[in-house]
Amino acid sequence: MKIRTISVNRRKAFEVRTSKGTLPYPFAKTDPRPTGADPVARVWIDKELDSEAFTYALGSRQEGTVHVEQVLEYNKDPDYLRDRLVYRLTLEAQKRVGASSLPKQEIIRRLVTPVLSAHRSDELHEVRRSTGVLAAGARLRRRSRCARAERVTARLRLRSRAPRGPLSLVPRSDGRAL
Amino acid sequence: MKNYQANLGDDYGGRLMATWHVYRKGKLVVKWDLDNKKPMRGSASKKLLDLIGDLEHKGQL
Repeated sequence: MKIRTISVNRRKAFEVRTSKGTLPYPFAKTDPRPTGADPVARVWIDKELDSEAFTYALGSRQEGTVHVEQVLEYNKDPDYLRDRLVYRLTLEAQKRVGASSLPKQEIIRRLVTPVLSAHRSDELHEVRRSTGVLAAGARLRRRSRCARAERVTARLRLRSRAPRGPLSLVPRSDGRAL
Repeated sequence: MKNYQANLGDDYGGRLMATWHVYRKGKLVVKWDLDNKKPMRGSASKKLLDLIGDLEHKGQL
């Protein structure tokens, strides 16, 4: 992903504009870190890094570079997290297939996986969209779980149940049995 | 040739992931997974693999 524009905002952060929108990246995550005494003098998109990173220079002439993947990672971009998850799952699958004594066709049969899809998983660059959508969805679901629980509680007007204590064995004041 | 090393934050499993991007003439040649020693994007030529091996041997990666 390429960086379109880069700027410094007043909230002690860089503002990185990409095709996904404007993403912040705080000074606190950078090295060297800009400070009030040593502010950012210049920031530019690094063409040597295929516009996938930006470089900044401080007043003290120190320079630092931040890659767009660090920005995506900081902002928890679902597509980026999906790609990393799929990559790790692919590595794990390759490791386990390699360790297994079963022939590949048998593994495919047991997993009920289309042959073409299974062979594609050998290629690290291949990202299966279905898995990616699931991963991105899981991430979003996890984030919205609390909010959703609150909405459901409000809709059903559920109230927290008062704790029940042991039944009182003291006779009622009118003398009737409990 | 310019390279960039990124130590990215915690993943789903809470693991760190270290990658190494190699660019030549402003184009990405390979994104190298330092933990698993495999290309994540692009491909590494024999010359580049030797270079990576040398840097790892010297402890610079």
